[in-house]
Amino acid sequence: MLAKRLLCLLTTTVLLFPLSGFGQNIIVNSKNPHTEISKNMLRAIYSMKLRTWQNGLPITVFILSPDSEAHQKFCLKNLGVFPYQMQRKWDVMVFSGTGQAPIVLADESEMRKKISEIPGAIGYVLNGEVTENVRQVRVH
Amino acid sequence: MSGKYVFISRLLLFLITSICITYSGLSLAGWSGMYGERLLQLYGFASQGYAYTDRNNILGESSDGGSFDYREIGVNAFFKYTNRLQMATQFLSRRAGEADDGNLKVDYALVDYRFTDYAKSGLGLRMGRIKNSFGLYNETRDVAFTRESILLPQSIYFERTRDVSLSSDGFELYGHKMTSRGSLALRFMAAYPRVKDENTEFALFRTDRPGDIQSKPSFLARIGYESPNGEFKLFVSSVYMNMLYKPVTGEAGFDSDGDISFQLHILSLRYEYMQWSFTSEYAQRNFRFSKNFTDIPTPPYVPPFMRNTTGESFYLQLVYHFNHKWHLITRYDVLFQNREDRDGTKYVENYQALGLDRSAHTRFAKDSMLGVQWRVNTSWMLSVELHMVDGTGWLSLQDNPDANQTKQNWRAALMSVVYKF
Repeated sequence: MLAKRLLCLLTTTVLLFPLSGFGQNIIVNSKNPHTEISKNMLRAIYSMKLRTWQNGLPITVFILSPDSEAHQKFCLKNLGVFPYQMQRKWDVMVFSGTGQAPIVLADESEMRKKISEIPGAIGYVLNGEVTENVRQVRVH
Repeated sequence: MSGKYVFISRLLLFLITSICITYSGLSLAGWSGMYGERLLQLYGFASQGYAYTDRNNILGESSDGGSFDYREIGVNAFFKYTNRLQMATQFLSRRAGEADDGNLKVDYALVDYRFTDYAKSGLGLRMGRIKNSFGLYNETRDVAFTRESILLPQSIYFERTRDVSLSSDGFELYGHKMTSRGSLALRFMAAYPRVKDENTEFALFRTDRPGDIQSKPSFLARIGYESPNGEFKLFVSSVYMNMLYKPVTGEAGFDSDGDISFQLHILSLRYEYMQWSFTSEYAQRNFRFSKNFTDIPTPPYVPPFMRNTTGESFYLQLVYHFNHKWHLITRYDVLFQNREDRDGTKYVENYQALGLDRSAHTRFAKDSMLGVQWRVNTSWMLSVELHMVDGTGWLSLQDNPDANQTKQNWRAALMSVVYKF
């Protein structure tokens, strides 16, 4: 039992160690009233279950390429799941007609651009540079 | 099925598919909503498989040098009309030996209206042709890259009675609720299952009967629990399917329509921890035929001892993800066509008393498999798997016309290439 706990702790530390000093940031359009959201809400958004913000704006969900390092880190650190688990969820929804998948963007500059243009957008970037019309959101 | 209902469902299908086809003519990037969000999304996939068996046939004549008769192509469109109202449709063409002819079919075509949409709960209604969601895999069983293996556990996800289990025409109410202790999801469907293909008759009667099978109002419900971090999932699914057999005039033994009912109950469990994923499902299937099936004087007919049978299915599956591109999968999958006669000996005795020859191994199947899947990139995926099977319980009759010619112990090797766009 203790051995299992130690192994789990070791594995999680090893996995998360590179992420700990790492400014992964969730960003939204500056018109979005939220300054922080719960981890559950972030999961509901990225599971495509929640479709609208509280003020009625539709949520537009963006991700970077599933093969990218930024996406892998986002899934592990912010959602707490492995990327393949999210991908399977999205694939099942898209191919059963029960939901949309997040929109895949090419790189961070496109991510910032889209978020600044679309009021209900949400996405993530590796470094937390503040740019026009884009604001960070804290996840608790 | 009442004529009026058929008309309405066909009209709905036509409307939805026309809308999606019309809008798909526009460029993907150009169609934005008033908040700038994307309204139309198109996706598709194509897969080609190869099956080789040392004896018996799956997916074509696999025992005769292997079969390439295994292809799936799908295209879908998702259209957001308003925040609450969405539409989706998918066309599917599937070729799988003699059991699936490769014709283009409407897999689903639905309108989805969301009544409530809060951070902690949601409730909505779907209308049209909707995928049957039971168990862990049924909803997207035809979509290769949503499966961790080429063949799904056949004890539950039979290739044989596919159309009936794919989608139904009617309504589905769905809801979910999230709490700090996990989330609950419920789906309840009231609809007419698709029974218009000969697979259904083969699966039920072992032959294509002269009359017609029609579906009657049927129900499906699935309740799911997911732990807060998604590690643990538990589902309970129940299907109550009703069908009618309409004989042709003068069909021997049938002075009225025949009733067939099918019930399926599945308990599903998935536990994911780090790179490991453990899945298990247990199911019971009950078939009930009305008395007029046994009054037919000559075979093929349903003998009294086959009028009400309950089968059992169970599998244990373990997947290890090396990284986000590779995984290894192993599974042990067991099927009993009748839980009161697991080795098929009573089945053989009963038929012998009627002067007919049957093989006990057609009443069960125990399948051990090992497979590998490689996601080359976000568009391409390759899979290879091996099966060692004891029993022929889930072989399709169309690929194996004489069940008595099938052999009890057999092996299969499968490969597939999938492209997603």
